[in-house]
Amino acid sequence: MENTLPELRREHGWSQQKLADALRVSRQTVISIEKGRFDPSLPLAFRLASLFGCTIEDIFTPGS
Amino acid sequence: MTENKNSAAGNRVRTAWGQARFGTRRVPAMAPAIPLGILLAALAAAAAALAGFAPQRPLLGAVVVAALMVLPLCALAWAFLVDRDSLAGAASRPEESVESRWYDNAAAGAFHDLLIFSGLGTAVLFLTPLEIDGSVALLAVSVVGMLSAGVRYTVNRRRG
Repeated sequence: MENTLPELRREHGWSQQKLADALRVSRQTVISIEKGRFDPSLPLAFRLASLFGCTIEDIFTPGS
Repeated sequence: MTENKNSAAGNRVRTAWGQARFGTRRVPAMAPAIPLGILLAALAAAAAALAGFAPQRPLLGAVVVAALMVLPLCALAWAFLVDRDSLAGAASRPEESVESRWYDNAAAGAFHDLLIFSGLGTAVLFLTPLEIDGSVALLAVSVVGMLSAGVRYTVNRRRG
């Protein structure tokens, strides 16, 4: 899956560690999601969307 | 010990070795873990001596067992006692973290490696006159499983 997480995070001025703390996961998890190497669970995707005030589809799109 | 604050768990102080919780009281987790580990090692040494681990020199045997067991048992006691919410850098939802995925992948791969290893080993023992002791065979299976899981986890982590 492709995602706009790095752009969203920078727009909000959050560090990877701050986002990881807010999501209650490790910083490595945020790094892996941003690189597209780890697809988050549905609850985690919902928490991400809730944090940024958007929908899951705004963050994640199916890869080519 | 390094200390930092974590907003996800409130403003509670987190430390590298964490804290143990006894009711409402909190103490550094190593404080009860070390004496408990020593006590368990002493019990293991006494059990080894009573079981005839070193019948010629039971005291020396007990000391060796205690020396070998004290660190792992202190670590085990710490793992049981520590409140993970008091550990610096510990994720509150490890099951949703990428490390959990790495572990699952490593464990699944190690299981398949063990199936192949034990299957091939059984075939070799069946087809050749080679004979090995059961405890040696089980030790080999354990070592292969641990090595496989460890290597696979490391590879997963490096790939990110």
